[in-house]
Amino acid sequence: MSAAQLKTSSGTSSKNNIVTYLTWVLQLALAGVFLYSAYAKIIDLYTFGEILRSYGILPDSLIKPMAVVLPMLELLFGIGLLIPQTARISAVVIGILSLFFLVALAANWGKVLPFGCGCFGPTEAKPVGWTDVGKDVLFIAMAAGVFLLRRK
Amino acid sequence: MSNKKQRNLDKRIEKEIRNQKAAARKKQLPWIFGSALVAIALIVGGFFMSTNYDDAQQANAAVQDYYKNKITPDQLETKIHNKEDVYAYFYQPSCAHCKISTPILMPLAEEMGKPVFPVNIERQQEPWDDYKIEGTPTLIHFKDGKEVDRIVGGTTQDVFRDFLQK
Repeated sequence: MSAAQLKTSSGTSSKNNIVTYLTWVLQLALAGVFLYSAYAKIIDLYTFGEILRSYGILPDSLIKPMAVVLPMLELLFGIGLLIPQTARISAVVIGILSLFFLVALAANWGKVLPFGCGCFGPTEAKPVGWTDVGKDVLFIAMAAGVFLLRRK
Repeated sequence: MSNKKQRNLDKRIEKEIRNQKAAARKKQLPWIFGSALVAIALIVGGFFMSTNYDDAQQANAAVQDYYKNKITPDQLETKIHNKEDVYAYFYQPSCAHCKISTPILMPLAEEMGKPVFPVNIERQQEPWDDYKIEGTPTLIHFKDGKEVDRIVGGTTQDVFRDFLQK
């Protein structure tokens, strides 16, 4: 192997290392966020149901099923993000979930929600603003990042 | 090529295909097993979470009745400003002592005809600072726009009765 080839190979390897490192950072951060979010919801499911109700976008018949299913999805795909073989599909589902939350928040833009955004359990009543929406945009971007970087 | 050689070759190819299929099935086994486990965990978890939701809903329906006179810190401020004779019961839904005290105090207040107003101060810093609350539950008697007396923490029915009778 020539010196030039060695240099190129070493450069590619270093680039690959950075990409691998970045992918893991994204996966761990996103998994941490969604596992904590699932935990905060599961410990008080009924309140999460009330948070969903406060958004006013779901019919009453769907409040309980969604209050049970959403934290389960967050938990399942939060764990999925930590497993390399399932990270990509988990990133897709987490991205879709975040998009769902984003739409729900956008539909309530400027309104005072009694439990705050409720992303990590109930908080102080406050109007929906850029911080809440920005958080979901960031999660979608991170999920997209994991999806693209995990491409073989 | 003779027929025998051809047959042997076909057999070897068939065997190779069988081996490849068996290897592929073996490779899929952990995924099938894992998916089945996840599906079972989801069904069992979903069942328990659904039961938990129903229990919480029932418990909440009972508790809500005690807090039917609930007012916000702003409404309390207005009452104090208007020099009303009121009792503010500062509580937090997650506070274990409140869960014990509320079913004692609220029916007693109703029985004695005393104006006790629950004020939820969970995750709200202002009321804690404004009324110098050290813990929940805290029952404060306001008269003529000023604090007259207070009980900090949970206590017995007799102590609550004496406090409301003063």
